Amino acid sequence: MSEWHIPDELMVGFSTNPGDIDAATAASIELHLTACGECQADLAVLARPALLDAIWAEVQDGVDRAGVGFTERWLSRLGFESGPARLLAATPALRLGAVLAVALIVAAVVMVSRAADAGEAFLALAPVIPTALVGLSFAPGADPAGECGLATPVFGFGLVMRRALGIELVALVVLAVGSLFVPIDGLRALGWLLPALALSMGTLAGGVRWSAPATATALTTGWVGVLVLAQATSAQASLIDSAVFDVAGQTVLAFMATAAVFVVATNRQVLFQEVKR
Amino acid sequence: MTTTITVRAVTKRFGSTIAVDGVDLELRPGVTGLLGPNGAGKSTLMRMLATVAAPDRGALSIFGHDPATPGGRLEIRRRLGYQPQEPGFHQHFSCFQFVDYVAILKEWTNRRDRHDEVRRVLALVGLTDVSNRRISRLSGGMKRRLAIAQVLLGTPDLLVLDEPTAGLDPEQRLRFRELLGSAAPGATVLLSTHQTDDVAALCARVVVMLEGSMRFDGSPADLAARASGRVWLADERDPRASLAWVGGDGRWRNIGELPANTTPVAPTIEDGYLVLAGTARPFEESAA
Repeated sequence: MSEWHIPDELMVGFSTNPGDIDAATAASIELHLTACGECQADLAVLARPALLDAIWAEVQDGVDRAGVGFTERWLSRLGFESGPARLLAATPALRLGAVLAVALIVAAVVMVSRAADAGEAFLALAPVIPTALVGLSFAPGADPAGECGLATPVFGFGLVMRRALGIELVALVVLAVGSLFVPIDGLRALGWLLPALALSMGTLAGGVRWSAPATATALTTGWVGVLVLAQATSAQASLIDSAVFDVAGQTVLAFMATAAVFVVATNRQVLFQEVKR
Repeated sequence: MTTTITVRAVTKRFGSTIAVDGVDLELRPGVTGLLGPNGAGKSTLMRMLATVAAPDRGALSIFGHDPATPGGRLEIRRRLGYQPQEPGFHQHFSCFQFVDYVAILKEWTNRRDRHDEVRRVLALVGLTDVSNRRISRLSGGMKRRLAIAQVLLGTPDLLVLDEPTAGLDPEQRLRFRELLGSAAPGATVLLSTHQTDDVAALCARVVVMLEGSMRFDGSPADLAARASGRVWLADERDPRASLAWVGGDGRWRNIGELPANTTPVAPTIEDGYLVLAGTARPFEESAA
């Protein structure tokens, strides 16, 4: 039997991370191990805890994943890391029940539009839904963890805004599906989209300086006022044909949405400041 | 010893009510008890120290940082563990998921390290066996322990604990005392409580707030000494006492101006607090 034995450091490396050892050295170690009982015994002692650690880590991961909710599961499948997935899944408005509630509201608006054969009801109400959701995402109590979460380094405008954007995205997708069923032909069925973006992005922009819920309320009130004014002053019988939903009106709304995005983007320094309530 | 927190002339109003009125305070490592009746301003002061509320006037410095600035607030929060008076929970989360959630908010980005830390703090508060139970199915005492668990994440340098022992049974309170002594060595701890025996057991220093102002700052023994010579025992309630109650031994513990020919007994922290808070007034006066 050889007097030489595998050095401790090399043996630890071989037993824990064999992939880190170059092929020639690994082959030498394996060859030596076939003939040296002493090194075989050393390896057995080292390898067992490493193997046990690996198995235990797998078991713990399995236990930790137990009970993960619908939203978090889907976010993980979409490639989100566990941290961001948990932060988004903790948003009440992104939970399955809340998403279904939004879908039901949109379905109700669609049914009203179809029953009255008046697509303008959908175009008028649809922008309010994402705006209200974005505003509510900044409201006190929007995170049930309350001050336990608020007193942490990650919590702040940035997190709340990411959540608001998640809610916005879900609402827009649900509304887009709903718009397939409203009695309006062609692209005009998407006439709600730019108002929705302008109002909800305006809410986010307002949250930079003022209270987002108050901004959402003000913008929604303004939207209703604009619609009433448009209906009153339009020569057309239908709101769909009013200035709000023609090219000029939609252009103005697109400009407003762009301006709001610009305000949010250029005020990134407030992303980590206290949420204004 | 380094000063962790400096509070200078801090005032906080809610409408016409002054919750905290020109408070000055310095805190150093060690456990400081904050006593006071409901509405004395304790929670408001703690919320300001926990960076979740801002003072209307005065200055705060925590670890040398100003919580009014975003950068200062961030640095403070990195070293802070805070338990609010009424902690909120995601009821649909399990214990593990909730503490994991707070750990993510506390910048634990490595999943394996984070999960190890979550398991550690859950074990510290004795919630390992129910770590996968939904929070909505926990008892009130378990929820309190869960709130304490999230405070201990990362072994913070500053712990702001607003009535952490409320809702805990006597055994759990003893465990909490043991935990606080071992889990946060060298930390600065501000502990608000109505339990004077918690103060006696845990705190080297006690501060009493009344009507938004600091009325006492000293050792628990000094607080007890406020009632020195003003506490006596009797077989019946002494009509001359401002406040009296029956003890476990069936004798009346009277507080007030010591009558002649009466031997005073050693006062407790509670006696001192009651004298200081003015609760030891004749019932007729209190009713008036």
